[in-house]
Amino acid sequence: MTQDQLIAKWLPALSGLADFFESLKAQHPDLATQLDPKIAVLRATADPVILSNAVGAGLAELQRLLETGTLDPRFKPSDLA
Amino acid sequence: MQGFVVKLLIALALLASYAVAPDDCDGASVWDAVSLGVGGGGVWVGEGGVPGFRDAEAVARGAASITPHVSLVAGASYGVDRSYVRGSGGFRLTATDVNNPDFGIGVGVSRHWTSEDGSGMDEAAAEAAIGWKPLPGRSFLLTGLAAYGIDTGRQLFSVAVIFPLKKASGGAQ
Repeated sequence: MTQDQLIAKWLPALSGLADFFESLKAQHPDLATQLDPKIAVLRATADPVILSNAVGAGLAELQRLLETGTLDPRFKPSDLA
Repeated sequence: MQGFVVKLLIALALLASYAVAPDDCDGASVWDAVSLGVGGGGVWVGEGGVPGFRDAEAVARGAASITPHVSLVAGASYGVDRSYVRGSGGFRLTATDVNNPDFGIGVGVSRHWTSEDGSGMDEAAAEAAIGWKPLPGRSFLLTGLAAYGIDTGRQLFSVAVIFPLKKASGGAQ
């Protein structure tokens, strides 16, 4: 699977997650304050340029990892989703 | 499925080899890179149209953040009403600020499996995930996941409240 094919799969996943939160918000309007900003960021992230940059950053970091053997971890909340 | 497990084990073995590499004395250990969490939530499954609520779940999640943007992730969920077990394992790329411990969006690919047809998927899936800490001073996270089956197009959505048992401790926090 090429990078472009991968990004083409991620775009509907990001938009679908935003749509899913929209449907949750419709059922529970009291959640709108919490969900609206997250929905906006999800829709903004569903952009081929942003995803391409993330892939590029990831590949560069993996190359560095292979060269140095040094882990460089971060705590990222989406990893526990 | 066996091939995937073998690849995952090889990846973990490579990670372990980095931890004992002689030139790794200034880097983080594998344990520093690990995040673990447990919690509860719900899952919705569908094939086209609006996905239907399937079950409430008890969940356990783990991740190894090997670089700022790249993580290996895995999770298992138990259906409280239907008594199924489903799980997944794969990689994830962070598309937002990797130094923000309170909010993140990631995309990736995972191999999913389930003990009950209809309560998940048994194939590789493209994923988008979101996690955020809604209340400062409280450690729990709210998470959401969308997974789209690469072969069948089946859709899976899950939301959960996760209590981190351990956070990755490298890099800027």
